[in-house]
Amino acid sequence: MAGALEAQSLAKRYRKKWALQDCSFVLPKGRIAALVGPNGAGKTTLLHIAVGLLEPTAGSVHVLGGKPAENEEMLSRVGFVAQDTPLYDNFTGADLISFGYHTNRTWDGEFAQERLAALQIPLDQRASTLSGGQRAQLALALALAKRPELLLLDEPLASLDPLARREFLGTLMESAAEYEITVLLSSHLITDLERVCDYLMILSNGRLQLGGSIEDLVEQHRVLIGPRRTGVKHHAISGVAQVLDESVAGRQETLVVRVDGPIIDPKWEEYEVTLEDIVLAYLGQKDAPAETKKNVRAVAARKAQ
Amino acid sequence: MIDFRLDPRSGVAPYLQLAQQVRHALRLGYLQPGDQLPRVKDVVSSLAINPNTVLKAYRELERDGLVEGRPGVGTFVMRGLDGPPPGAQATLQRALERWLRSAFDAGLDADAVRSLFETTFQDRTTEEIA
Amino acid sequence: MIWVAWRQHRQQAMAGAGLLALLGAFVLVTGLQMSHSFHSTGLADCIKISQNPSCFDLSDAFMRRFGSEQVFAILFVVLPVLAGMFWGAPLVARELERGTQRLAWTQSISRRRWLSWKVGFVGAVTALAGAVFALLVSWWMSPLLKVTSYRDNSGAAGFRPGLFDLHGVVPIGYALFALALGLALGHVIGKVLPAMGATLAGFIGVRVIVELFARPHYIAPKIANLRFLGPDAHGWTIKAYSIDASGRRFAANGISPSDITYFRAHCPGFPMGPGVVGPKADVAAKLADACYTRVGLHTIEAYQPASRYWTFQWIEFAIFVGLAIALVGFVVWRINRTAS
Repeated sequence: MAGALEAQSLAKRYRKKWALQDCSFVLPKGRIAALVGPNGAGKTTLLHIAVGLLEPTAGSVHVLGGKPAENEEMLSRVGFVAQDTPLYDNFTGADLISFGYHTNRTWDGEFAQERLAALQIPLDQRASTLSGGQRAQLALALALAKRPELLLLDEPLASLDPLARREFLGTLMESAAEYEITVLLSSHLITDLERVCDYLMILSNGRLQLGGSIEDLVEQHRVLIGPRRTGVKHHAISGVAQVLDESVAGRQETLVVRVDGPIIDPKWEEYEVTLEDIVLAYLGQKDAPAETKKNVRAVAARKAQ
Repeated sequence: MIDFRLDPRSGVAPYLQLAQQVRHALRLGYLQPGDQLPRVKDVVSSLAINPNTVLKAYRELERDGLVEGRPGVGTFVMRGLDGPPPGAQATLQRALERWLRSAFDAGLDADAVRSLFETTFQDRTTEEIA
Repeated sequence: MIWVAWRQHRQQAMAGAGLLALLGAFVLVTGLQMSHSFHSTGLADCIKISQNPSCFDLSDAFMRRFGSEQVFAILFVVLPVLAGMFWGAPLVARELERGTQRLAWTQSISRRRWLSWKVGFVGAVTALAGAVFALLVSWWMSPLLKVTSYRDNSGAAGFRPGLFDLHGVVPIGYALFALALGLALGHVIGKVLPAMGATLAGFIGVRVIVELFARPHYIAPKIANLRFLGPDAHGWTIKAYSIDASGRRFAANGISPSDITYFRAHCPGFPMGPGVVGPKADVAAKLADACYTRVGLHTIEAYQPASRYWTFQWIEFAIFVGLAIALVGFVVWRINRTAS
C-alpha cells in the first residue's frame, strides 16, 4: 500500500549548496508525523518539494501515489500551511474563504466558518489585523476546508504563544480524528510535538537521520547509565547495536543507544528514552545514515554466525 | 462526564493515564454504567494529543470489559469497578506503617524510601498491564 | 477565479478608474470647447476647401487659444506605461515578494490557469480602458490636427512622431505591451519596485527604438521630386535634402551663406541676401527662383503618404500586441518552473 508521502534518494541543490541529500522515507497513511531538525536542515525544502513548489534536483517523491502538483486533482488532495502562514493581508477572513471556494474543487466553506466562529476569530477584519495565533488558525481552517487527505505544515507553531499553540494543535487533532488525515508538521522543537505525533523524522544537514513510528523508536532505544568506562577503545555492550550519544559526568556515564537485544550486563541501568533524548542523540550524528548502514551490516554478519 | 488531564512528567504513558482516570472515575462513581465517554475528537481537541492515544486508552478499557465501543455512536460504560472490600484499606495501611518502620530502622532515608517505592510500584503496575 | 482576480486587483482597478475618470472629464470638457470653437467660427468648413488661404487668420486665432493644450498630450503618452507599472508589474511580483504564491499555488488550481485568469482580467480591463481613452483622445485631438495639417500643408500632421502615438489604435497596443512587460519583469525580478523601474526603462527603450528606427520603414518610403522651397509631400516626411543638376547637395528647405556664394557664381544678378524687403522683395524672389531653375535645384523627399496612415497604425499596433503576446507566453511557460 502506498504511503501518504514517499521519497527515494531525494536531493535538492541551490547553486553550490545541497539543501537535501539522499533522503528516502515512507510516511504511512494515517500518521501524525513530526519533521524535526535545526534551522537550515532542509525541512522547508522537503515540504516545498512535496507540495510542488520546488522541483527536486535528483531522486523522486510521490504523494498519495502520484507526483506532487501534477494536476489539479492532486493539488486538491494535499493541504499546505507555509511558514509564517502567508495570507492575503488585505483580505478579510470571509474573503479568504471565498478565495478558497473559487480556487478549489472540493471546498467546505461552512466548516471553515463554523470553526473560526467557534474560536471567536472575526471574519470581517483584514488578515493583517489579526494576531499570530488567529492567523495560524485561519490558515489551518483554510487548509482543512479543502478536505485534504494529506496535510503538511511548515513550522506552524513557531511564532505562537503557548495558549495559541495548544489551541492550534487541538484544532488540528480534532480534524485529524474526524477526517482521517495524514499530517506532517515540521518544527525545530520536539517538545511542541510530543503529545501529538506518532511518527518521527529527523532531518539534519539535508540528510534524513531517522524515520520511524515513535512507538517503535522508543522500543528500539534505551538510556543506559553506568560506571564510566576507562580506556580509549570500548568493547561493544551486549544488546547494543549502536551508541548514539555518550556523556560522562564524574564517575558516571550516560549513553543513548539503539538496542537489538536484551541488556544483560548488570552494571548498566536501563531507562526508557524520551523523544527529546532520541532527537538530541540523532542530531548530534555527523553522517548517521552511513554509520547506521555499517552497523546494520555488522550486526547482520554477527547474527549470521 | 469526565474531564481528562495529562501530566507529561509523570512517566506514565499518556494512554495509560487516560485509562487510569476512567477507572478512577468509575471507582468514585463519577461515571456510571450507561454513561458515554467523551468523543475522541473532543478529548483530542481540548488536550491537543494524538487521536490514537485516546483510541488506545478506550481499547484498553474495552479489553477489560469496562466499556463498549458502538461504531458511529460512541463508547459507553458497561460496568463499574468494585471498590476494595471494607476493612481492606485499614489493614493495608497498618501493613504499610510497619514496613515504613522497618525501612527507616534499616537506615534508608525518606528519599531512598520514596525511590524504592516508586521503582517497585512502576515494575509492578507495568507487569500487571503486560 | 474571476472573483479572485477582481478582489486582488480591485484597488488598482479603482485607482486607475479614478485617474481615468478625472482625465476623461478634463478631455471631455476641453474637447467640447475646442470642437465648438472649431465649428462655430467656421474654421471647420473653411479648411475643408483645402489650401484656402483665407482660413489662415481663423486658424491663427484657434491656435493662439488652444495651441497650448497640446502640452496635455504628454499626459496621454504616459498612460500606457502607468498601466504597465501599476497593473502589470505587481501582478506576479507582489505574490512572490510577499510569499503568498505559497498559498495560491497550493490550492487546487494549476499555476497556468491561475495566471491566465489574472492576466486575462487585467488585460481585458486595460484593453477596454485603452480603447475608450484612445477614442476619446482621438476625438479631442481632431480639430488640432486638422488645423495643424492645414497650416503646414502636409495633410498628415497626425502621422508625425509624437502625434502618431496618441491617436488611433496604437495607444491600446502600447498599453497591452506595457502590461505584458510589467508582468514579465515582475515575474523574473520578483520584487515590485525594481520591476516597476525596469518596466519604465524597458518601455521607453522599446518605444524609442520602434519609433526612431522601425516605423519609418514599415513600408518602403516613397520618393518625391519637389520644387525647392515649395510645399512638402502630402504625408509624413522622413528625410529630405535638396540637390542640383551637378549633384551638389543643399539643405532641404533653406540656403546657407556658402550656398549664396555658389548661386552668385552660377547666376549673375542673384540677390544680395536675405533681408530684402518691400517691392524689391518680389523682384528678388523671382530672380532667385529663376536661378534655382537654371541650376536644376530640386528637393528630394522620402516620405510616407498620408494615405498610409491607418496601415501604419495597424502595423505598429500589431507589433506591440505581438510583443505583448510573446511576453505573456513566456511567463505562462515559465511559471510552472518558478521555484519558491
